[in-house]
Amino acid sequence: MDLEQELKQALRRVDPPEGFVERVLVRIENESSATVSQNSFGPFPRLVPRWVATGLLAASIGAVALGLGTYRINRLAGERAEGIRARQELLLAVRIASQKTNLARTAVQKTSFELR
Amino acid sequence: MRKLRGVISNSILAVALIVSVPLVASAQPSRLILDFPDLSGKASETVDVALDGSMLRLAAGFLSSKDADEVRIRELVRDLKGIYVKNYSFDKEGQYDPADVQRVRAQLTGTWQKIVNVKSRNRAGTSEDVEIYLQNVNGRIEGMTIIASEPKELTLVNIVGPIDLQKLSALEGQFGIPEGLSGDAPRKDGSQ
Amino acid sequence: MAAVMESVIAFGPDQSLDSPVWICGDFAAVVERHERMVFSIAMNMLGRPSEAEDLSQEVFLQLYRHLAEIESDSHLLHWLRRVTTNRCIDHMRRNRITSVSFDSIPEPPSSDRAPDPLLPDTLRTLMATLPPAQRALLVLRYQEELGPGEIASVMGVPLSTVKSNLHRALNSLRKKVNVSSRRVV
Repeated sequence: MDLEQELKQALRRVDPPEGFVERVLVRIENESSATVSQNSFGPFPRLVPRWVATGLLAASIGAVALGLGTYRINRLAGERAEGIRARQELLLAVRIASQKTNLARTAVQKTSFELR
Repeated sequence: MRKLRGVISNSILAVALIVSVPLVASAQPSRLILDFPDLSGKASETVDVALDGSMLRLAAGFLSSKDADEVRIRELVRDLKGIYVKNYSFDKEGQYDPADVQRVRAQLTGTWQKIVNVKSRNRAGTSEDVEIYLQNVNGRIEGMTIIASEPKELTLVNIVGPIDLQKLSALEGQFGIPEGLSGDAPRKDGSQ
Repeated sequence: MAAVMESVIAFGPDQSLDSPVWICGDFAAVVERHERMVFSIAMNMLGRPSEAEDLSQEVFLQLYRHLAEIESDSHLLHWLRRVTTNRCIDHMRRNRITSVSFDSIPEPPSSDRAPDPLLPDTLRTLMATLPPAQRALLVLRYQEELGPGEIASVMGVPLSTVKSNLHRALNSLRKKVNVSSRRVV
């Protein structure tokens, strides 16, 4: 038995479960929100009790962070979708152009063959 | 003396013409106006692809490097500045005006040269005319336009930038796109 | 961070490594491109799909936080291998995923010459009995097909350590395979 060859076979790469990328993006989104809402916010005027100020600021930062996180993930997904759509359009455009030029080329070749 | 002056002025004129030719040549647009709002309304199906330089680079980034055909396509479009395709399919014959096609031809002057004009007829008796134009600027191919007209279909392709015609035609039907224009096509009839 | 992503991450999903042209893409495309490698390292080291996925996700989260440090495509590949391997070793040490009962090892067929369809499973199970660092060596050597020098660089250990541990791991594995075969005969 060739152990090294068998190990290569046994340890070959495998696909992760379906939806892996999406789950990673969701975790990034969740983490982005959490990280920003945990940030300290420096001196705050002592006009209101500190716990009220803390609560209000944390809530507003949380809301903004959530919005930013969602925006970022949406933008990532949007960029990716745009890239995939552009690829499909490119393949389609090249296929149409290729089909027409090939038609012309074939016709020209056929004509020159018949003229011989 | 008057004769000499005439020679000089003729020479200046000739030099001016020679100098102005590349200027005129470079001013000739590679991108054509392919806008037919009326046709979209009449067509049963419309394919409209408009990829400028940045979109082409984005699209190329999503091509596979393992698929040989997609590798060839990436190579083919590497230096292009744009690809614009319009494809109109009609239910009945005679639904597009030949004057529409003439509007495209009218733009193909100056550095544009018609290199092929094929009139063919398939086994079903349907005729298809294909005209291919190349834009030659100072010995370099800077663009290509294809006008393909059938009784029930009109296709216009405008490629901006240096394109290898042979490589393009060699790609036909090679890269895993299903026959017919369904599936990936960004259709405007809402059937997608 | 968003600005960093725009400037640093510029791959297509399937570009060849070290391509001089980094074409516009996004983080999802980077994950898609490397998910198979990262998940496989985790899977081959941990042996449990749910743990492997969880750990792989954490690797990509860490990558997201450290995007600014990534200098090139080959650096990214090296970074992912290093972080995944180290996290797996830490995970195994914390959770003590080291011992596997021999009763759970699939029985190999009695004939030596016939191809053994169960051998890959047997090897994976036997690997789970090796110390975490030796497992990592085998995964980097036989899954990622890295040379000893590259393994040393990924694991941050001297080349001589890689060579001796690799030798030790293979010998150990060979003995275990023989023992498990004899038990069946």
